[in-house]
Amino acid sequence: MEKPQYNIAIVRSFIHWSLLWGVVSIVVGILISFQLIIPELNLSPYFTYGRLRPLHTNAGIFGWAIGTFFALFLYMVQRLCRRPLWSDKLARFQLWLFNLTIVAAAVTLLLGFTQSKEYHELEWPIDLMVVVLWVVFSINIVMTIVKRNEEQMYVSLWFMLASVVGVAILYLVNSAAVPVSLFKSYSAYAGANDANVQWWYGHNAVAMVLTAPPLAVFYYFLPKSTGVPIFSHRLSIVAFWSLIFMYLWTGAHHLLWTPIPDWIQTMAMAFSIMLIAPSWGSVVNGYLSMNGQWRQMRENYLVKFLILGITFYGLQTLQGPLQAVRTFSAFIHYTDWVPGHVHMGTLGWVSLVLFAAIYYLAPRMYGTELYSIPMANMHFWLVLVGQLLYSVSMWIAGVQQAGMWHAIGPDGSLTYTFMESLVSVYPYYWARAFSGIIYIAGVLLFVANLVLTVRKGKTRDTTAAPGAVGAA
Amino acid sequence: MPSYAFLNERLVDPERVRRKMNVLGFPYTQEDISALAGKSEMDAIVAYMQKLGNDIPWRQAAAQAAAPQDLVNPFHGDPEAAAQGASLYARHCAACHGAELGGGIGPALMPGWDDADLFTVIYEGIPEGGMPGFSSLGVERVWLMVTFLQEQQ
Ligand code: HEC
Ligand code: HEM
Ligand code: HEM
Repeated sequence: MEKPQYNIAIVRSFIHWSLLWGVVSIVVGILISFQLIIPELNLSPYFTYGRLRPLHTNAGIFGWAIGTFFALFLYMVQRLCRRPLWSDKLARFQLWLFNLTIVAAAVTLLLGFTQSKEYHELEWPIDLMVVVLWVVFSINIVMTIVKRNEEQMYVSLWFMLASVVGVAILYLVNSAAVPVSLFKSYSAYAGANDANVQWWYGHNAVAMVLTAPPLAVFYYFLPKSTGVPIFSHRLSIVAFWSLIFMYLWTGAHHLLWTPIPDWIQTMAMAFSIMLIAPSWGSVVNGYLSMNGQWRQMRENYLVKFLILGITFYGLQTLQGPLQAVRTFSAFIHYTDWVPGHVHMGTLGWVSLVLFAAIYYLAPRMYGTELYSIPMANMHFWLVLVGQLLYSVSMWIAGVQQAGMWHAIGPDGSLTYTFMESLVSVYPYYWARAFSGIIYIAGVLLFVANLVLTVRKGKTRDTTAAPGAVGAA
Repeated sequence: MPSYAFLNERLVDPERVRRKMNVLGFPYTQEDISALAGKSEMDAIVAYMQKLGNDIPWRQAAAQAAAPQDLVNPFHGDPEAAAQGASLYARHCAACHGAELGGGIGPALMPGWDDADLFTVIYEGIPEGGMPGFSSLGVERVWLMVTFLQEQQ
């Protein structure tokens, strides 16, 4: 059969931009880590913690994670449907609108404009840009799938579709607001309702952005990297549908012990625990796909990233349900334990899988083999150590804070002031800031490796005939 | 603590506040809104922080019920208790009343109190005057500080 003319240029462009936003996010993450221990680093008004923190999360989730998902979705959809993109022009437009939106987000956040909803800070004009961006993206993905040349839909396509549809619904519902002026609006919901909608959005953002897309990527790139198919297609599909069904009911586990109705909290708790099953469905499927292939953990650096990634996903989906249990939540909620959970997910699971996919694509994007595999191995160890140090130090800090906050004298008075608990976690804050430096050292090696690969590709282009590469 | 001095320089715009309150449907009168003229964003934040968590009737009632009934200092004249009170004072009060009781944000602490009155001021505070209440430290620690202050007088 004739090979379709896949559009790889757009994939490459998205990856380059998402790498930029990823580095920005991490640099800002390191800066805010230091601000928590050296307050003088807050340069008011533009560079205070309150404005930089949402810049960090937005650049991380929307710039780095979603930017790379755009690239990988546009890549996978062509391969899995055996046809070129439905519209190359639309994809180009999407690239520029994406970058424009991220820049607008960064500028307005630094100027202090915010809706004050976590992960939905951007004010309504930028909300509108996001909606257009997502519609453009969705049309291209859906139309390519509709007009596909491969009858069977691989599980990655299902995860991609869920994410495309899910994000659209969540974002639209949560963005309902009444504008006062160009950069000020109030949520259309009030009080406890607002909180409930916000965390229904917030947790499903975890599902539709930080779970479904990386699973799509994992299911595609693991078999591609190992050269053997996934263990069970049926298991992957069952896990998919049950995951999507269960996630929708869990948002209120962010609101345990608050004034939202008790039954909503209990339901969220129950569904969160049930989520272990479909989450581990994918983990087990990944592990079993490695049957007889475990030596590749040593020999194939891509597999190392992917298998460690799915392992952190497995740990994350055990820790998450535990946090959703009322009694445990009462202990760790509001403490630094939670950022420990978050960064095992973002730095461990999501970023490791994305690194692997980008490495896999490097030869296909640049027309030459990766510049250095030892550098990629070094990258792996640095980000692994950085992430573990981050999470472990925050878990210890969280438990310590929780212990101190809960210590009560015989007459009901608190044993420790808040200040005392804060001072006691400074050593862990230092460890976290340091872990960020280790992590970014790894990421800079990664970027350097890619840049050197591009250079190598260029010199080869002039000496050797193109087309000899990209064999896979 | 980073400096947020810029909030002092930025004035609240009553017209903007009126538009916001209209959107939210808060029934403020034109006078309420006009009274904001000349206030800074710092004033607004201070007012908000002072209001936050107050005005909760059951909480006020609970605090009242928890207040001790007979105000007799269990540590009266105990030098060891005074020493403990001194370190509590340094941690919780010195920032406002000065390390040597000489005053600062709050007034200099003068002699002439009896134990019970001093206890009440510290335990309940003087909210309208900017003196926070310290009931959260518990009865015992407030008595320790009373003992320290009396020893200083
Ligand atoms: C945030 C600053 C602040 C802190 C902290 C603070 N105070 Fe005060 N205090 C004030 C102010 C302001 C007043 C004056 C209130 C008034 O009279 O309206 C005051 C008044 C008092 C008075 C009454 C003085 C008088 O002559 O009327 C006493 C006694 C007192 N404080 C004791 C304490 C003790 C003991 C502590 C520590 C447990 C403490 N304060 C912590 C601000 C503070
Ligand atoms: C190694 C680099 C990083 C460092 C040092 C870092 C540091 C931080 C810090 C200090 C916070 C604030 C925690 C608090 O409120 O107490 C934070 C929050 C957060 N970061 Fe990062 N971060 C890094 C990378 C990332 C990346 C790459 C992502 C996304 C893909 C990310 C996503 C988030 C999210 C979602 C939060 C909010 C967590 C919450 O509300 O509990 N971070 N980060
Ligand atoms: C079965 C799956 C999961 C469950 C049940 C779960 C549960 C939870 C719970 C209960 C919290 C709230 C903690 C608190 O504030 O007390 C939380 C926070 C969070 N989780 Fe998970 N989690 C799961 C998987 C994941 C995954 C895979 C990620 C990917 C990165 C993730 C990212 C986050 C983030 C970003 C937050 C912070 C939200 C905030 O800003 O407060 N979670 N999770």
